[in-house]
Amino acid sequence: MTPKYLFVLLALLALACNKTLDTEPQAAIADETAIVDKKSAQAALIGVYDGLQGYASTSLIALDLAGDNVVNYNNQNVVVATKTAANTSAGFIPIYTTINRANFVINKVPVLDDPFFTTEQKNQVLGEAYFLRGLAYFDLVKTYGGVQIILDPTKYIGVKRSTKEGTYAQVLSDLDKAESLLKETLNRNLANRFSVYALKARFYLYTEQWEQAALYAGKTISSTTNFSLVKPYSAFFTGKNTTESIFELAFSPSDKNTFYTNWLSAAEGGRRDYIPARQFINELLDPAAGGSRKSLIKQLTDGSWELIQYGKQDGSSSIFILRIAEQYLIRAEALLKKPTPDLAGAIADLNAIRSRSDVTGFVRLPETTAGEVLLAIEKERRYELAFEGHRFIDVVRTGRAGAVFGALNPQLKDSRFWIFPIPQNAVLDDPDNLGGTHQNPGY
Amino acid sequence: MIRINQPDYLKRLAVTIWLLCLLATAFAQHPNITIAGKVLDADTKEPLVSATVRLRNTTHQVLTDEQGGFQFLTGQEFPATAQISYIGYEPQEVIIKGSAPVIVLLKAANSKLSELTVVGYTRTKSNARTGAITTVAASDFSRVNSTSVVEKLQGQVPGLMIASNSGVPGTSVLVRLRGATSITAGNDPLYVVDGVFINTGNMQNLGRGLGGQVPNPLSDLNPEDIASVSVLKDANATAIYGARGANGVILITTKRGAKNSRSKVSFNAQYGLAQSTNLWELVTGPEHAAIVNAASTNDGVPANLLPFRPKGQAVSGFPAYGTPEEQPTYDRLKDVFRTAVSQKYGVAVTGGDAKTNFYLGGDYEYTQSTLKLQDFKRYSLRVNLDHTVSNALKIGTSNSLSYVPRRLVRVGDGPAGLFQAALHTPVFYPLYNPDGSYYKVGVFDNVYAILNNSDTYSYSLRSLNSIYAQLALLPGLTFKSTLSSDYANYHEKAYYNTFLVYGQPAGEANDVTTTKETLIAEQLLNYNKSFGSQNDLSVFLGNTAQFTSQESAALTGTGFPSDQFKRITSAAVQTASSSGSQSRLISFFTGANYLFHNKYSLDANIRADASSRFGRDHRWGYFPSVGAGWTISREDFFPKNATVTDLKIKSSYGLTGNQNIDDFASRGLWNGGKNYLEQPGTAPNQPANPDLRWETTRQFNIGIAGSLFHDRLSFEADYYSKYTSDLLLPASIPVISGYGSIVSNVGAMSNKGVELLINSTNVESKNFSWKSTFTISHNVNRVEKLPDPITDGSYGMYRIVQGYPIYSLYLFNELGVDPATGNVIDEDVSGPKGVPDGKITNDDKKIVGNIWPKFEGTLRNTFTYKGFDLNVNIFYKYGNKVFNYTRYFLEAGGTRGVTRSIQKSALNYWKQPGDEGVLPRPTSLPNPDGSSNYNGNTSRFLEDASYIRLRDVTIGYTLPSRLLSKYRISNVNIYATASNLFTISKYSGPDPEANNSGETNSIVQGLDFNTTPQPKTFAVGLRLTL
Repeated sequence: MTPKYLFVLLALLALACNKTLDTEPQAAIADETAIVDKKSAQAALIGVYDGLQGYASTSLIALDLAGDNVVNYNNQNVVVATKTAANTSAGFIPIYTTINRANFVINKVPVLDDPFFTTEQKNQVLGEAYFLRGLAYFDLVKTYGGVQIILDPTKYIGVKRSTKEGTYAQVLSDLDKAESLLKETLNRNLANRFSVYALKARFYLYTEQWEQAALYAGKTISSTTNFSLVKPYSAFFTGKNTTESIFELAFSPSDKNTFYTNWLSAAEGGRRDYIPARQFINELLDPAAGGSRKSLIKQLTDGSWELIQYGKQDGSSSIFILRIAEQYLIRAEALLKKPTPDLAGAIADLNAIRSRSDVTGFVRLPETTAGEVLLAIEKERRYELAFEGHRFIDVVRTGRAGAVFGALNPQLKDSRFWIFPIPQNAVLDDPDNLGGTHQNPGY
Repeated sequence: MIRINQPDYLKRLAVTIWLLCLLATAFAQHPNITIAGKVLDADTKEPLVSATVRLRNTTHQVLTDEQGGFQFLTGQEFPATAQISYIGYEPQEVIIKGSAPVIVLLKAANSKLSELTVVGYTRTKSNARTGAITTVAASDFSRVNSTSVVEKLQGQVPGLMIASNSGVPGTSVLVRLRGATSITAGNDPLYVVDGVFINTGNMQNLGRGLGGQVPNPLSDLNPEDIASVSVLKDANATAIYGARGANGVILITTKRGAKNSRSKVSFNAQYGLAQSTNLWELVTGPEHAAIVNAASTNDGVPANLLPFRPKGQAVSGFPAYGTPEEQPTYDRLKDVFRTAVSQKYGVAVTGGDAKTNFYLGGDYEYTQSTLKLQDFKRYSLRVNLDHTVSNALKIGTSNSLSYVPRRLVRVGDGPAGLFQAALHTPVFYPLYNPDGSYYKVGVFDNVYAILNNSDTYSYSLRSLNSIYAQLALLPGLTFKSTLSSDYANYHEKAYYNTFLVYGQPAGEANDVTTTKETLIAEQLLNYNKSFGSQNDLSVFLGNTAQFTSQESAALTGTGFPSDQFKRITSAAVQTASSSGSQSRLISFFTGANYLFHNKYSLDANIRADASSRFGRDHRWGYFPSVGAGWTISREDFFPKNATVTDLKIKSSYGLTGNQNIDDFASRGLWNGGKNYLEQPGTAPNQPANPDLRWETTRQFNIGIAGSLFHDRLSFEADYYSKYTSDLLLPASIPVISGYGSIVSNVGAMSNKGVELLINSTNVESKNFSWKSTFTISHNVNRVEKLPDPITDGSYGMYRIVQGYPIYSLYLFNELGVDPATGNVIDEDVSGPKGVPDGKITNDDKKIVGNIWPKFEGTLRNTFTYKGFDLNVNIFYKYGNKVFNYTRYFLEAGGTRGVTRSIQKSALNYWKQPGDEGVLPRPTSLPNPDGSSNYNGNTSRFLEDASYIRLRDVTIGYTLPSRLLSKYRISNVNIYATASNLFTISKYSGPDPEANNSGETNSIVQGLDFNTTPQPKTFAVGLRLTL
């Protein structure tokens, strides 16, 4: 070999370079190839549910710590947590991760050209994605007030916060689309038209559209073959996909819900970060208040109590996004608050919940006012939906947070603290739109 | 045997010479005379092949043959003057008086500056080089008992900072050359073993982790096989490694046989013991109870609800642990440390004839950690072979195969760690329940449960191979083609039975295999030409193509029928996952070095690298460098004297790169595994950044080197300034994008420093010698540009901020304790309005220090007296800080109640007004100004970890050879060595070198959290050569 051939060889190598350098990832796929047909679209939709799995318990626990049902194990005397931008996060970031995933599905599926992907199937995929996006914005707005609305996965620079009303309008728009695209097919783990009804009922309750709230709650309550209150109370969380569930976020040993580690004692493989508040335990144990809902908690050998609603040690405990008991309580509240209060109807719904948990029914006396029933409903929601992230929002949305929580933490006497701060790390990443005056006032 | 024809050019050369001779004869009108002889090394008497022989005043020359012989006809007449030169030797003139063959003895160039150096791709005279390169020969390695060669270099190379992260053998070592140039793209130097770019990344993937402990892949190489290590520091030396040179290059050369040498068989054996001393001192049970009660009292807990009160007074929610006086004390720590044994045995055979030389080496090492449940074993084999096929063709190969089984345990950082169980569990809790089962405290494992049930192992299989063929094309021009591979397989197995936290509820097993393969093809042309004896040209041109791939497969099983079943096949739930990635790098490089009049040298190199990791339009990076050197001592004006024998100044400037990021960092990516209802799901996880490009470091270096007093004292000093721009960072994007970050080129960082190396021969006599080596280096790192500060995710104390060094700590600055109230006084730095507000909030944190030493180095003294030798190596480091996170937990003033143990020093707390020099009043409540007396993020735990350590001291005795010769033994050396015999430091933890962040590229460094201290080791050994 002489040098001349060597240079030829080097030159050939150089030509081969650019091709050699085109490597393709194996453990991941490139953006362009992610959603191209029916199968990949369905996989991307599954990814949206996975996103919901990723934020559901984070959001839930932050809301419950903000209320008076749950405390940190290491700080049990603080019943209602003080919220700061640096220390409080209620799933803000993972909710947007879920929205991003849903946006990809919503933007790409309609334009897919796959002959095996029928319009009906596309509608199903899109409807579920709209539902999940609507739920995500709902979870944001109830926690943070108006937020930035992202509908296109590529447009996220320089987006301003919407108002609370604007964000609720987006939730409704998504739920309307979901309602029109989905069918009344029962699947407790996936979104369908029933789950849209139930979420809309909650939406109208929160936005104080009482007639609509009662109407939509009635849609699932009246579907008695599909949905009914289970007895005993504990059956809905010890079992799986009972008739109690309208939308139950499922987990399994290979797709674990690690929420149990936050609740269970070390002996049971947990870390016990959280514990029901001492005062609240007493109420749950009270036969006239908690009734059979005392089965949510279990006493340990040292005398302390732990929550077992999420206690399946193989990680298969579900998170209950929507269940029928809430619909009864939504309707009860809506019936009382509509211009012509229906006390009898409301008390019937309330007592359906009470009797299921072996608690004496609310007795209507001639002098009973709607206000008294509303207070009973507030209490009932506290016990019935104790560890499902409702308590804080329920007290806030009725304007009673100052009275109820203010006594436990003076921060809550100021209504500016009835919504959460935008988390510090989100502010740091987008200071122009979330920092300064764009942060929630007071934080 | 393959028969190779004599290359054409030799024939042509012969014809030319013959013609020239003919011509010469014709013109000179002199009878032809024959000049013949042999050129040998003056010391070894080995023949020197290809030495140049020419006659003065003529133009023709010949090269010596395999036996060092030469012969030619010339028209000159006797006496003729022959000039003989050979690279690396002093040129010599010989007057030849007759045709009888002469023996020419060439002396190796005894001036250190004209030694021949083969460094990486280049082959130049030492005084021609302009880069900053430090070479450490095996004989100069520190004798410290370590599993890899890296620890043995600590302090030996100025500018190379080396710190063992823990005292566990075979774990990672923090190596930083001339500071840190990157935030996330890696700061480890590039390691090249016999020309093979090796993987040194962490391959640990065990699901449950080991609590900050990471294996060191360099422990796969047997240090006994290594002949020398060259550390390339400045841009001129490293630019030729282009995209990977920014963090410096460490060239490891393994031993090879010498040609025409007797076969030598050498054995070595070493037996050692190690012990960890200066461990943590904990309080007794009653002391624990007292301080916890004191804290509770200060917190306003009424006396009837204090944690330590008579057991009978238990109330729901307020357990009673008994009175302080009745608390027992259990020492768990004593049972987790042991006197560790280490054994090393090695055998090596070297030799060679005229054509072939070889090295065979093998070793077995077994080193226990002083922390129980961990040990390191290595079985290694090396074969290096070179063969001269013909004058033109040389082939060779380097191979090493090693198998490293390790026993491991999760040390800490997380509830299931051994240190949590042994050190952090409060002393008053019993060890066992009354029924004999393990007593478990809170989230921690029981220490005896771990000791009896820990079952974690890893197995590293490593094969490094390369073959080359080197062809002499023309005189001075060689072509070398090398194919090499690095195959690393790391297999981890762990089983957690039901006695362990991770084994809940019914056992868990993990089995992970990770493999990394690198294949490299390299072509290299080298041209060396001397113009006279004073001028040398050296040129090289080459190309490499590198393919790297990584695969990993992880299996997990949970739900075992009983603790007897350990394999995943028996598990009720079995999950598996596998993953893989690959990258490619194509490079072209060239360089030239010219040495003029043996005084001036000029160097220029350039490398072009193309990496698949970057955006399509940004794949190619170009890394040029230039350097110049001037040997002043060779100037005529330089006074010839015995004081300054050699003096040279040199300077260089150039660019290097860093591409150590994820293989597909520039692409928009979706991941699978986002499942729901057992249906496969996908989701976007990384936004695309098509503009992603190299991190580039430009470096200026100026140095002076010389030797004084007839080479009795030599020194080398360098100043450098490095500036790295386009730092590869996960830059923040609005979280509403759904992505956490986007890998971008953001920010800049600089390093400036000075280095000094002094070697001196203090005494040199027939029976006694005393030599010293002293090194010192100083580096200042600074983050020059960074739009948003970066805070570490795990601890929140480390923050990278523009204007401060990387590895800085962001804490409350504690000014002291108020003697009147016992409350801590934190500096009021700022407030919501940007000015001090009298409140201590997160606004009052600031950068209070960093982990970088102001300077560090070593002082090594070697004494020999007749057969005895004594080697004393002192390592020092000044101005560095360590965050003592262990102390933060153990010195919490009783505020951690019954959940964590307490160390003795916590007892010295404020008790009454006027107390000074004490820890604050124990309380978990915030003070009126918002400060907390026992907050973790305070400068209280950032300690000065300067230290001086007797790193190793070795005494050896070489038996007189006259005693051995009749047994056909050529050399026997027996020695005793001790490492870390004493350490002088103000640091309050067991070891100022502790660093829990085993991950060498993490932004968390200098964190002491449950770190096994470096043990004191004592060893005796024997080296025997047949």
